[in-house]
This record gives sequence, C-alpha cells and structure tokens, in this order.
Amino acid sequence: MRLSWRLLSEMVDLRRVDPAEAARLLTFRTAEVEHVEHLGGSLSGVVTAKVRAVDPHPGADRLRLCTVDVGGGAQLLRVVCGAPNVAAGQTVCFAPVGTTLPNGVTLKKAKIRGVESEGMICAEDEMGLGTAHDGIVVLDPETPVGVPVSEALGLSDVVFDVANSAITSRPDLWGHVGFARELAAILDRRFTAPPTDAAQRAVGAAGADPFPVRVEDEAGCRRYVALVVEGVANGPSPAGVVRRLEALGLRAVSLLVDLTNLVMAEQGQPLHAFDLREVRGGAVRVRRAAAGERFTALDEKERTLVADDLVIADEERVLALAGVMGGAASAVGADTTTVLLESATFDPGRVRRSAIRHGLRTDASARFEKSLDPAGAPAAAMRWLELLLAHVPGARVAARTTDVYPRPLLPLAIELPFDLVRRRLGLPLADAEIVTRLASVGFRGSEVPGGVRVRVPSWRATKDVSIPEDLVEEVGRLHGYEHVVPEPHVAPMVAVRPSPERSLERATRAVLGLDLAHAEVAHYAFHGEAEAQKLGLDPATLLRLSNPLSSEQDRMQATCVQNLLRIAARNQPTEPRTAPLRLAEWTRVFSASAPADRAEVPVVGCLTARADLESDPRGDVFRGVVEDVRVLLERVGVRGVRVADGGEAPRHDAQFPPATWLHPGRSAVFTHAGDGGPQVLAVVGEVHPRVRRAFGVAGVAAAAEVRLDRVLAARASESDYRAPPRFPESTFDVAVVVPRKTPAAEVEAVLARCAGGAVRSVRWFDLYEGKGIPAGQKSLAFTVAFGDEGGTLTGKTLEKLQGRAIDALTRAGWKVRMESGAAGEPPA
Amino acid sequence: VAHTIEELERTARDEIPAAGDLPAVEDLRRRWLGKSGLLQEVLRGIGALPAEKRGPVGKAANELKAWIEAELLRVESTLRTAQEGAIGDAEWVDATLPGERRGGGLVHPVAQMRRELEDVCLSMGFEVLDGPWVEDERHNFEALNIPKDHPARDSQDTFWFPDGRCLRTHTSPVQIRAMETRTPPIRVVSIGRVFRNEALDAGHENTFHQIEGFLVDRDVTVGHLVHTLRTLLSEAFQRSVEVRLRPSFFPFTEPSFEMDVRCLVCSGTGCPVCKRTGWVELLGCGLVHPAVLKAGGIDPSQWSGFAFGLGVDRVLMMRHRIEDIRRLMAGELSFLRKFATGVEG
Repeated sequence: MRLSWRLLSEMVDLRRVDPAEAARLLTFRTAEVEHVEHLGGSLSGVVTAKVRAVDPHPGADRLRLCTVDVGGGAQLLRVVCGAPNVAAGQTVCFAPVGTTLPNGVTLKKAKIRGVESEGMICAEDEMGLGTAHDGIVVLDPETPVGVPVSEALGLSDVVFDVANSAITSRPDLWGHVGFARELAAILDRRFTAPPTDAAQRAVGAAGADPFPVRVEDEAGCRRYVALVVEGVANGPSPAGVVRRLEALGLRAVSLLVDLTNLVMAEQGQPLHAFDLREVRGGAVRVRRAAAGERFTALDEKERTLVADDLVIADEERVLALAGVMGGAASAVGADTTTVLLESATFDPGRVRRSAIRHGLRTDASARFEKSLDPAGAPAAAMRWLELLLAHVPGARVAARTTDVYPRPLLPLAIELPFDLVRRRLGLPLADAEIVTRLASVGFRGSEVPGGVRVRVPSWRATKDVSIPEDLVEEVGRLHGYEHVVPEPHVAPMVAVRPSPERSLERATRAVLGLDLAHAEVAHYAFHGEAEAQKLGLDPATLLRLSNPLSSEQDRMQATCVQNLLRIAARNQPTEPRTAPLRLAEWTRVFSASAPADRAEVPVVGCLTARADLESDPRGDVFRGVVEDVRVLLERVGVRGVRVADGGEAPRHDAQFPPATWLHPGRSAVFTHAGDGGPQVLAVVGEVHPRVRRAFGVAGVAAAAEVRLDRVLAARASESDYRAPPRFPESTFDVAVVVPRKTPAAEVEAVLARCAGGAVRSVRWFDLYEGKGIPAGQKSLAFTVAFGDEGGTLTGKTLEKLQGRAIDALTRAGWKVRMESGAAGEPPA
Repeated sequence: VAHTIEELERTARDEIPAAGDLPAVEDLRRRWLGKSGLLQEVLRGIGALPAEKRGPVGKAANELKAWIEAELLRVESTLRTAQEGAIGDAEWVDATLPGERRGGGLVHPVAQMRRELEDVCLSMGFEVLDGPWVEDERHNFEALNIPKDHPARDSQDTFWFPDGRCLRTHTSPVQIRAMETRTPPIRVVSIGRVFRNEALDAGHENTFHQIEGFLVDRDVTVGHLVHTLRTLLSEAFQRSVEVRLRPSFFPFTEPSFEMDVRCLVCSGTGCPVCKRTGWVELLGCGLVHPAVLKAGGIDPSQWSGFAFGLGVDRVLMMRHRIEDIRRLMAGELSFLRKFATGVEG
C-alpha cells in the first residue's frame, strides 16, 4: 500500500522528521516500508515568481517582454514570453536560466528576436504537469513568491510503499489514519483526526427521514451507513485531488468517485457512490444474491451470481456486489445530481469469496476481507461529505444519516499480566513502561493486581487483537526488538537422532550415490497427460490437482521413472558417451486410488543409461541395475530378499508404483517375506524400447524403483554374524542344461534343497549357450559347498552328497552336463 | 669322452651367447640342461668309462654345466633388459584419453544442505522429522490458525486436490503432527519439500525446501528464539552472523518477526545483493500462537514456544551465490557436479 507523507502530515506533526528515518522506524515498529519514493523532484529549479510588468517586444508582435520578480530582494529579471495570457501582477511558474525541465532541456541564456531572455515562464506541458500549452500556468495570487513550484503546487511528496503482507492482520493500517496513529505513537506526537466539522453541521441540519436501507442478511453486513446528497455536480476533479490520487497510485475518474477513493486511502474504509436516480423503489436492500442472478459490474462484464454472494439491490435489480464492485447501471456519471453514498461493514469471508469467485480482487475487497472496524463506516461517510462540501459548494444533505447497525460490537477488554510481557519478550520492562507503550497506540485502561486491564480500541478489535499475547507484541514492537538479548535455551539433555525414515534415506544415499556412483537429481513431482502416455500409464488413474499451473503439470507422479528418463534425455547430449549415465532420485509417488494414508509413498529410483550401446544382447545394463539394487538392499541391512523374473506382465501388488515402463523379457521383482506375506520392495527392468524412445533416451537404459517405506520395515536391526563353521566345507562344481527361460534362481533353489542342512551355499558362476548345447537350452554352472557341523566330510559322504545333488537336478528334468569335485579343499 | 666334452664346450660357447631372443634361450636351456639334454647324455655315459677317467670327465662335465647355467642366465638377463627397454615404444598408451571411470556419484546440493542443517539441529538437541507432502487442510492451515477465507492464505498460493487435500505449502504442519504425538518439552525440526502454486522465475519455484523449527517448553522467550537462530545460521553460513528482528505477521505466531542477517557479501557496507541496505531478509519466526498450541493439545497457560521457517534453497543459494532457483530442480548434471563435494549421504 502507498502512503503519502503529505496526507500523513495532515494528521500528525511530521515537521523536522526525516522521511527516511520515519520509514525505518515504521519498518522496525509497525510494518515493513519496502520503498521510499520522492515525487515532484523533477521540477527542481522552477520557482514561483511575480510578473511585475509586461511590455511589448521590440522585434515581434506576438512576443512580450516581461519583468519577473523571484522575491527575496533579488534583481528583477527580463524574460521573453509568447503566451497570450501573461499579464502584470500574475504569480507564475518561472524557470531561470540553468534549470533542467522534465523534458531534459536545460535553459540557456539566449537572444529571442534580438532580446536576451533570462529564463522562461512555464506552461503546464513544459513542467510535465499536463498537456495544456495554450498559455502559462497562473497561480493563486496568494502563493508565496520564490518558493519551489513543486512545493507551492503540492507536487512534492514522499511516498512509502508498505508491504501488504505485513499488514494482513491490521485492518486499521489499510488507510493513512492507521499509520498516522502509529507514527504519533512512535515519534511521541499527537494524532489529529481529519476534520468533519462542516459535514457534521450539514448532517445536523438535515430534517428528512433517513434513506431506507433494509439489511436482510445481517451476517453478511454488520453495519450500513448511507447519506443522500443533492445538488452535486460531477466532473473532473481539480488538479490537487488528481495529484494526490496519483501519488497514491490511484486513477482519477470523476470528482464523486475520486473522493470515495481518496477517503478510502485516508480512512481505510471503502465507499461507494450510487446515482440515486438509478435506485428504483426508493430503498436499497442488502441481501443474498439469488442463484443465477445476473449482474454487470463497473468493468462492463456480466457475471452470474451464486447465493453466497452478498449484493446491494433495489426492488428490481442488483446494484452492487457488496464490498467488491459497484454496478455499471447505478454508477455516478457526468449528469449525476443526487448521490446515495454507501459506507458499510461487510463480512470479510463473504467479500473474499465473492472477489475470488468472480476474479475481482479490488482495493475495496482487499480491505473488507481484513475485517474492518464498524466504527469506521460513519467516520468515512462524514469525511467524504466534508471533502464534497469543500469542492461542491451547492451540495446539500437531503436526509438524516442512515445507520443500520443492529448488533453493535461490544467493547473488548483484555487483562494483561505484566509478567507475561516480561516472560515472553525476555526483557525486564517496568510496569509503567508497559502501560505507556499500550496507551500510545490507544490501549487504555486501569491497573489490576499484577497487570493492566485495557480496552481494545475499536480499530484494533475486529480481529487483530484479542488475547494477551497480542498485547505482548504491541509492547515488544513499540519498545523495539533491538533490545532483545539473545539467551541460550536450557533444556534437559536428551539423545536425538534422525527419524528412521531420515536414517534410511541417508544410508541409501551413501550406497547409491557415493558407492554405486549415481548422480542424485531432484525434479518436480508433477507431470501432465503427455508424460503419462509416454510411460504407458492411464492418465485417468493419476492423482490430479484441481488448480495446476499448466496442463503439463496437472498430475502427481505415480512413479519416479519418468523423471529419471527425462533427465537422462536432457543430459545425454552433453555427458561423455563412453561412460554410463547413472541417475538417482529420492522422491515420493502418489496414487489416486489408494486410501489417503497410503496415497503417498517414499521411493528411490535409479537409472543407468548407455548411449554407447546399440543393443545389449546379454542384458548387461539390466543385470547391472539388478546388482545395484541387490547391493543397496544388502548394505542397508535387508536380508532374505527374493529376486524373481518380473515376467511378461509383472504382477506385483497393486500398492506398488505402476511399472508400465518395463521391457517384457527383462525385469526383476525383489520381494521380502513381510509379516503379512511377501512384499515387493523393488522392481527393476530394462526400460521398454518404446518408452525409452518416447522420452528421447539413446542407447540402452535400465531402471529400478525401490519403496523406501517397505525397505524400512524389512530392515534388520542386527547383523547376521555367526562364528565361522568349525569344520571346513567341500565344494563341488556342477553344470546343468535347462530350458532357456528357466531362471537360474530355480536351479539354485533345487540345489540348495538337495541335501538338507548339508548345503552351505550355492553360487552361480557360468552361463553358456551355443555349440554343444541344444537350441532353446542353456547350460548353467554352480559351485555347491557342503559342510557338516559334526566333523570334516569324508570322501565317502561327499560322494553321497554329490550324488544327491545330481539326482535332484535329474529329477527336476534337467540334464547334468559335467561335475567336478574339489574334494576336501576349502575354496580360496 | 673328454674329447667329446671339449667339443660340447666349444659348441656351447658358440651357441649360447648367440641366442637372439628369450624363446631361443628357453630352447637352448632344454637342449643343454633338459632331462634328455646334451649334458645329461654325457653324465649318463660316465658309468661306462674306465674308473680312472670317471673323475676327470665328471668334473669337466659339471664345470661345463655350471658354466652353461650361468651363461644362459646372463644371456637371458641381457635379452630381457633389452626387451623391457623397448616397451616404452611398443606399449605406449595415450594418457590423455579418458579411462574407464568408476565413482562419480554425487549428492544433490539441496540434499547436502539438508543433511548439514539436520546435523546442526540434531547437535542442538532438535529431533528431525518429516511429514506428508499431501496434507489435509487441518494440518496445513486450520490448526495453524489460518481458517478458511483468511487473507493470509493469499501469501501461500496452494495446490489443491478435488477432495480438499492440498500439497503442503510449508513444513509447519509437522509442528502439529509433532504435538499430536509428543508432550512438552518438545524440540523438533522438519526439513523437506514444499509447494506453492506460483509462476516460476529466478526467485520463485513451485517446489522448494523449508526447514521448520519448533520448540515448546516453559517460559520460552524471544531471546531464546534469537539465540537459537543465531547459532543455527552461523553454522549454516559457516561464519558468525549478525541478526535483527522486524515485526511481521504470521497467523501461527504471536508476536511474529522477520529476521534479517547482516549481508554476507558486503558484511553490511552495502552491495547489490542486499540492495545497499546491509541486511538481507532471511526468514520468518515468532512465538507459537496459543491457538496453535491448543490445536496441538498443549495447554498454552502452562507452555510456550517458538517456531521458525527458513528456506533451505535460499541458504544454499546465498552460500554459493546461485542466481536462479530453478537450476536446483532442472536436473542438469553439469550444474549439480559443481557441488559434488558431499562425502556424506
């Protein structure tokens, strides 16, 4: 909000106060002044002067030779002037030689038709004050001579720009009056309310009954004050009013409207002027809109209203959307002669909703939604009348003031223990100081034992101040927070750690990022329909935002894989082709169908992309990511993980992020036996070539998505360390021919079970396809380690165990290709 | 036989020094010293000699064997030295070509910053928590004293879902969640992603990170708040910082403050970063509003507290003079690698 120094000066004595210092004080005591702007500075050098004599120019009929007095006993100056309206005795705006005018021209001593001119008497346009060039500006003859024109015309001003967010809670600060009160308190000067004497007299003299106003929705309208003024003449406002509005960032419209805006800026109370001719039926109603009712506001747009909208209406139609904007039909115009002025207190929530609903955030609605003081309504109406009477001498108050205020606000009193102030602020403030500070901003009352009971002034009582803590703030800010002494908070010693979720995130980051060499990226958690389609996801299944920034970001991600693909594609052109690109992201994924408490799941995703590979016949990239996940889970302490082929259509549980991006022949599912049955911890796969191409990723890519919440649940808290076996184990290598798509894990499982507890481990070491192996088959080789807790295995026992392994494989329908025992030799 | 030994010796003296390469040395070793080599043949023949000749012939044969062994080693060593002297040329590799790269992982700068701030807070006795990104209206707004239709909602442009939930606009809901599951005294911080429905530019992101601190105890003062933040910020910026408070307004604190820090670039003498004011606005804070304590089930007549909210991205940007917040979420590895100094997860 913009504040005019001049306007403030009318309410509080600001002489000998530096505006910059006042801005600083307001920032540290009240609300942040973001910017201080000096207006009228561009006219520096132009001064008021008296024209002493006007003589004909010896060389030109249309030019005159003027003698100008700049006052202060200075020498009279001779000036050539071409304006038709120049006359002796006038007070004019004079730019002496050396002045730089707003258009950038610097006046030089020059001969005009043979006569030297020592300056220029200015027209409006030459001073940048308007467009008129048909004559010089003639000032009020009473204007002192020799003072800067910017001052004489009231052009110079200092404007403060106050951060609106800093005054959200202070309805009183949405007008100059509030800031004038603050400055008075801060500077210890007197606040003087703007005068309303003439208005009070005029209203007092009116005899007719008040204009009828029916407030039918009392919840929507706490107070409605109305004035009827006859004999007004509307038209452009005088320059002084226009300039003041402009300084405040408001646009001049016409006198009647401009005065409502000026009073709003001054008092913080929005007003609305209706042309009484357009009010039909001789009364106004404040009521709910009928659903579907149409209304054309001042912006000439027709809107359809809903029942929650509060309107001002006559018997026939809606005249205004209460607190937001007036109607086009009932607005005052050039021919308005009788005005109905509204000064009301509307419900903040209703005004806010209407303003948002209809896209009309106006200066008025911004104020109403802050909860205005009902006492401000009659005060603002009187100020408007005061200004109107000053500008329109013929105006007459036609009736006594209407004031519908069915349930006046009760005065609010708060008891403040002095100790609370000291305990909260941590400052040793004296009782008297607390009382003085509060009184300086209108909180007065009487002392009670250990404290003070103050009455909250009406302009602070609507929402802003209601509890003792609010008064603590008043004392603190006015005393000055710079006095606060930093003090360590002392508390019993407790051991704190990151939460288990945070610990797991840290552990996984150390493994994936630092050990397995992934670059961590962070990216938006939303995407659009196009992205969903690239992934092969049904866009309708995604959690959707009601008010997205754009259609490209209107859904929450269901999997983190699209971010990894997108970022891989973005980086591939600039990253070295010879090195695999490895990315990881810790994020969350969302489900539209899951219940609210499970709709959001923490995941980590990782991806390896190889731009240098045309194809990957052995699936090395995919198998590398499988290993990454295996290592990740091992390293964070998850044991008993089962890895299975994902199959052509991976059917992991519905709670897992959808994995529509998987290559149908290259995917793996990591499961863990949870309490409620096996749970999928991770899905890994080569990225389907169709999906990979859709995202523009070159070469071969494989990715994994890991559910961190399930990893956390599966994480073992203790090591599975056991003392090494007392007797050495014996190993035995076996190769077996199986169908091509039989998973090695299946063969491994058969071997692991072949001899009860005697099998200590089964380790795969070779895959062979080709010469010597029938088509559609493959050879897998394993090392099986046997051991016995009872003693070293004898050659005979070992032979028996090997025989059982071979039998088991044969019974499974597979052909054993070769075997070799390294009897008795523990593996190196 | 003696004659033969002399012949053999002559042949050996011709052949062995003439070996041209290491395989030739191996051939010669087999030919002379092998199981069926020339010397073995001589030694086997000794038994058939007259007794008086056995001694001299045996001695001569053994001397020859020793000589051959030594000579083969000498020749082999000479040849090896010559060959190794040539690997510089034969096995030359272009050292400027990149090799197979291992490592190269990096932790995102925001994650590093988050970790660092968490560690500082932990060391000061604050628990580190996080909460959901998708929040209900109660936790994100109402329990924080921001009722529906409150103008303060304007400053927190919110992403909404059709069912009335929203993406959290701040990490403050974690305060409420912390109070629901704890009894005072409470010291917690929560750090994480927050969302604002705003257009992006160099200074605004729709996705960024916040650290929220929250302390409830008996008689918590503004002085405690200032001391805590000064300590935290000095750690965050790795230097002693000067702070000041200005009055402000947040619905969830009373009184509320903006905290400024003395400009870290110019140390307060005035520069473009601080817009020549010497101070940079950094964070919002205040004493916890009694209504918020009440919403969290804590009796405000017995307990009081402070809360603060600080932009993690902002601290990071100030520390490294990053000019555009959007770079943090853009996923450009060349940018992220500039911060690849993190050694911790």
